[in-house]
Formats: sequence, structure tokens, C-alpha cells
Amino acid sequence: MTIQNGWDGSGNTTVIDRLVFWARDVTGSQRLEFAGVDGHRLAGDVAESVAQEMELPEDVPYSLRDNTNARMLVDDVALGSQIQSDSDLVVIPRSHLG
Amino acid sequence: MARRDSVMPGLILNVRCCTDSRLKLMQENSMIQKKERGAGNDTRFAVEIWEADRVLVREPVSRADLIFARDETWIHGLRTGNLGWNLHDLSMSVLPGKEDFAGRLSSYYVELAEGERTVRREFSMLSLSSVAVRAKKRLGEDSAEKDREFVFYLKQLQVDSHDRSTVDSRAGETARGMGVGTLLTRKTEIPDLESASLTEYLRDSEILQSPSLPLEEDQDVVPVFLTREVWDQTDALARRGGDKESAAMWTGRLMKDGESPEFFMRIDCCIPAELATEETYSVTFSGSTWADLEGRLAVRRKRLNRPAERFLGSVHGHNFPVSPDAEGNTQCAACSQAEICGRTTAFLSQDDERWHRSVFLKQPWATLLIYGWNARGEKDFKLYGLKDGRLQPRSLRLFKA
Repeated sequence: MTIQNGWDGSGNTTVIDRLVFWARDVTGSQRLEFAGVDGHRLAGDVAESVAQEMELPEDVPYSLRDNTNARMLVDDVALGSQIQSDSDLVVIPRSHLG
Repeated sequence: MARRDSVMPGLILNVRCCTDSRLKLMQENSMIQKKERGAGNDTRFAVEIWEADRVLVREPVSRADLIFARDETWIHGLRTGNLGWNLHDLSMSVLPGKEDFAGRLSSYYVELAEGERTVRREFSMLSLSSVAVRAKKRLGEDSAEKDREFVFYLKQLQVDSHDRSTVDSRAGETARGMGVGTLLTRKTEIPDLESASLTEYLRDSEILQSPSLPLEEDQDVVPVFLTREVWDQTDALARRGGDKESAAMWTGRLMKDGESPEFFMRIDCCIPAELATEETYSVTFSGSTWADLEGRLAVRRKRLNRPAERFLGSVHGHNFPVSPDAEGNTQCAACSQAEICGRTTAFLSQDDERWHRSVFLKQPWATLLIYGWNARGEKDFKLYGLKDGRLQPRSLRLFKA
């Protein structure tokens, strides 16, 4: 198990695997804890899975925001290289009012 | 982009019970099996486009398509005191509705059960318009018949021994789609409801009418109350974008009537979505937008010692003028005689509906307010809420001065 994420100083990205994190929707009405998540999964894929668990609409794409660091996660990068375990994530719908 | 054509008015939507031969046909159709997705796998309905006696295209009705109907049934159970707040304790069934002279069903029922208690609510086929539109799009991709109008039916693909389709029976709490061994824990938020007298709120308020669509008191929706001050603040924030769309969020409290199971909403504030990206026909909320809104709400909760204040709805302005018709006129021929001008930019777009679903799911009391202009250049607005499994114009009440 890798215990620290981000750049390890040698140019290699380290990935936390397995992850525990909390995820909630933008209004805070739903809060889910996921444990044992594969840290190598892309953040965008995880966002879609979390949205599915929340029963959010399938015709809307989603991203994750790490509230601990106040930054959006990059969809096509491994989740475990972007967050620490026990992070507080928010599912952000990529939809707009029209 | 704000468009009016999200639900095609020419479509005929109906439901009809499935005969054995048609059921077999459907079971043989591998396209449906491939099309069914995730949570929708246990749903046994499909919308079909028919021409004469043949099916042109079928679109499965997924659980996601029935979420609005489920949430509306749930809130009906809450308001009558028959269901509790934990939505995940409820099991959902879908049943065929009324049958017309031609053997077609003009509605379906959603039934929620919590132990021995059940609540059932009827929905028209219009609540499944988005499925019909999805089916039509698939037809458009596959043929040159894109612009034709077709007849739509809802078919029950499989009927169990109880003549119902169980849609929402959850098996355990392992995370679907998250990989083997992932465990899921849900923390269900039970809103704090402040106690107040609905009778007094009704006595001290009056309906605020939409200029383009005056509505009577609506018993099917959770009553909404706000002060003139908040209303004026809302108007200003929704129109602050000039010729661009601009948005804000309503915050307030869910109130519990002291004399009945009924609850209602008091809007306390309108918070501008200052970090949203504003364009002529759209306004987009990013992660930063939500973080900013959340921070402002947190400040209000702390400063006012009001921990139960929450987001209750969205507000935005369609700040563009009415588009001219084919003759280049924005006003209709009868404009000078008409009491009400119905040509307005205050209408719900498909994007608005999709945004609302992705933000306020499982909060069936939430509203969506749209400001606009009518063809006479006058201010207009419509408030939308959940009715018949879809967002429809609804009433609101303003406190008397």
C-alpha cells in the first residue's frame, strides 16, 4: 500500500490505494462514505459512480471537488494521486441553466 | 440555450398493457437489453414509438426516469403524515394506471411502502415525456423521419405475480460500479423543521401572480412564503446580468405546521451566484460557484443562529427579448386586445429541468424561479415546482405589507 500521494520527488506519481472518502451533493442533502475504493480509478469514473449511488441523473456529467483543498479534481487522473484518505468530496454536476 | 421545444407538443403519449406476443417481441430485442443501464435494469417499462402496427423504436424506462415521480409520491406521504423522512427506508412499486376505451393506459401509479404503510400517487404520461424525446432522438439518428410526429406508448414489459414492477428494492449497501469490495455508508439528512402556524402564514399572505400565467392556490405543492423585500432582492439579482443570464439561490427554512402534518417553506434570502459563468442563453455553476454559495450560507447560519437554513430553490433570469415570429413580429396580432401576454421568455428550458434534477434530487419541495420579459417589454416570471412527476408552474405567496 502506498501511503502518500502526489509527486514523490523522483518524478513518479504515487497513488493511495485503497481509499476512504466522504462524498456529498452540492446542496449537502446526501452524504455517502465510501471505503476500500481503488485509488487507481480515474477521478471522472469515480464521480460518475458516486452520482449513480446518489441517483443523480445519468444524462449529466459529473466531476469531484476536494473540499479539503478547495480544488477540482482532474477527471482523467487517478483519484488516489489527487486526494488523501478521508477527504471530503463534493459531486459537481457539469450542467447549466439555460 | 433556452429552448421551448424540450417536450414536443404534437406527441401523443399513452400507455397500453403488453400482450404476450408483444412481450415476446420485446424480450427478443437485444437492443433494449443493451440500452438498459445500471439502476434501470429492474425496471419493466419501455416507451415505444409506433407507426401503424409496428414498433419503430423502444426506449427503456429506467429508475432514473421515475425519480421525480417517486420523490413527489414521497413528499405527498410526508405532507399527509403517512411516510417518514428516510427515503431509503421506502420500497417503490410501479403499477399500471387507468385504461381507456382502446385498451390503453392513460397513467401509471407509483406506490411507496414503509412497513405496513403505503402511499400511492397517479402520474400522467407527460411525466415520461423525456423518455419519449429520448426515443425520438434515437429514431432521428437511425432514419430520415426525424421531423415526423409519432404515437408513443408505455409498455409494461414484465408483470410479476402481484401485477406490479418493483423498482427500488435495495440489496445491501455495497457500492455499485465502484469496484469489488467497496463499502458504502449513507448518512441520511433529516431536515430540521421549525414549527409555525400555517393558518397564520396563509392569513398574512397573498398569492403573487405570474403576469403571463395567473394561477390559483395549488394544494398539490408545498406552500412557499416570502417577504416583499426578498422578492425585490430576487428580482434584482436575477436581472443583474443585463443582457446575459444571471442566477442566484433561494435559501430559507422548512417549516412544520403546528396543527397538521403539513409543512411549508419560508424563503429568507436570495444569494447571488457571483462566480457563475454568465452568457446570453446560459449560466453555469462551477465548483467554485458552489463553494462560494455554500460559504455564504454557512455565514448566514452562524450569524443568524439559524442552522436549519438551507438551499430551497434556484433563481435565474432569461434576460433576452422575445424572439420574433416568421413575419418578424414579437407581438401577436391580438396583442392590443389581449389581457395577458403569453409570449414570454419566462419559461422552463430542457437545460433548466436537467440542472434542477442534478441539484435538487430527493428534495421534491425545491423550486426553480425564472424571470423574463414578455413581448410587450414587461417583466414576467414563473415559479416551477414538482407536479405530475415533472416541473410545472406553481404558485407562491407574498407576505402582506
